[in-house]
Amino acid sequence: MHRTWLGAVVAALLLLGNGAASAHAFLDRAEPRVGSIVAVAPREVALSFTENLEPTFSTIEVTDSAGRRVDGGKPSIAGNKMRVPLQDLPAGTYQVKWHVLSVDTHVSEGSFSFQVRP
Amino acid sequence: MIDLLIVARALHFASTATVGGAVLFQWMVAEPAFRNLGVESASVRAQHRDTELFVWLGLAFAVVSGAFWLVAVATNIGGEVSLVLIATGFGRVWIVRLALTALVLLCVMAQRLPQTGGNWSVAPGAIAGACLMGSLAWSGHAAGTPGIVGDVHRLADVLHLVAAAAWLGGLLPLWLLLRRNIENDDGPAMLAKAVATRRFSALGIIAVGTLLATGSMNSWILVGDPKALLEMRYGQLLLLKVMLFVTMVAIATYNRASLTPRLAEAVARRQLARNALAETGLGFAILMIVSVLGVLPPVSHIGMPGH
Repeated sequence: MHRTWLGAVVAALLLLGNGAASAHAFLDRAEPRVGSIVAVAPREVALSFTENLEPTFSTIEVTDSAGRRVDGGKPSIAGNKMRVPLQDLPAGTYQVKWHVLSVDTHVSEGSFSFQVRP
Repeated sequence: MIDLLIVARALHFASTATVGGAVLFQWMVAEPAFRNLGVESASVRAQHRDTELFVWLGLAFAVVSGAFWLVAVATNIGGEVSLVLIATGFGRVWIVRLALTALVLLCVMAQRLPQTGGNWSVAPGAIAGACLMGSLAWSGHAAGTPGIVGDVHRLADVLHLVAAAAWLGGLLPLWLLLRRNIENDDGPAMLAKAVATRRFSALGIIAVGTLLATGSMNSWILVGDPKALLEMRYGQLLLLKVMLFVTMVAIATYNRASLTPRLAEAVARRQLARNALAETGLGFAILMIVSVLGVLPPVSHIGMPGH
């Protein structure tokens, strides 16, 4: 009897949780903007998320079309904002990859590109 | 890993609510109702044993499920458990909550000491139990909400959790209290039961009011668009949760309006005890839903433009 109950509870939980996506901190705003073409090379990439971030487990990578890192390494993170300085960028297409942990313990990641075309 | 996380969360919510509810029940309902009976009364001793039982069992489950929750989170993150414990807000809250667990246990065990003028450890134990429940706000969606809205969200969540524990976690102690010698009550014990029921009823009204107000506020922050309630899994589960809550309130209203005035009759006491059990079942079902809601993206987080 008790085992039946326990089985039913576990089954209900699995059913309810089926297909649960755990990604929570979504990218809210980015500078340079997602997919944008900018005339002046930006000095940094600044991202703003829908939730506050855990600095220890949040990273960002900016690469050029050859896959070389062009960011300054460790990002500065405060609240829901993350920024990383950039090297002097020549004209070209750049890829931004972010991987963040929100303080409600959910991991999410994504990427976008922007172009520098003076 | 998501499944282990959901099961751990469900067990943790249920066990923490049981602990918090038991110590709050003792402080706000049982102690005042039994005060006139004197410490040596069998009913008072039995009530202490009930509280101890709920606290021991609840804390054992809470510690184990909390550990599984931590491991599930560390696995999802891909980090060492020790690093998650020190370097994340979630981990630091877990350390504080482990200390609160010990505090609740000490306060309840202190009641076994020879009494020196009142049960001095009842109130601190109840407050520690309430903190144990309320601090869960920092493990969920409320922790991540940025800015001033986030502060409001966290405060609302703390009140929501404590109110939920006070009501839901108090139902089983009430059930045990009503069940004891249900057929033949002597005068003072009967009176104490009536006082306890009225006090719990008042506590319940405050808890329901708090749950409604803070629940509306949290929904407004996390859902925003009411249309999305029907379209998304998060919204659908939230609606299911609200329906179960309304059913609980309906039973509680019937208890208060129809059964509480007839407590002198054994049949009313039996039905009240049964209803307390039914409400507990509904309440635990709500906690299962909550354990799933916490790992789903809330409505307000979806459909954000990436620029």
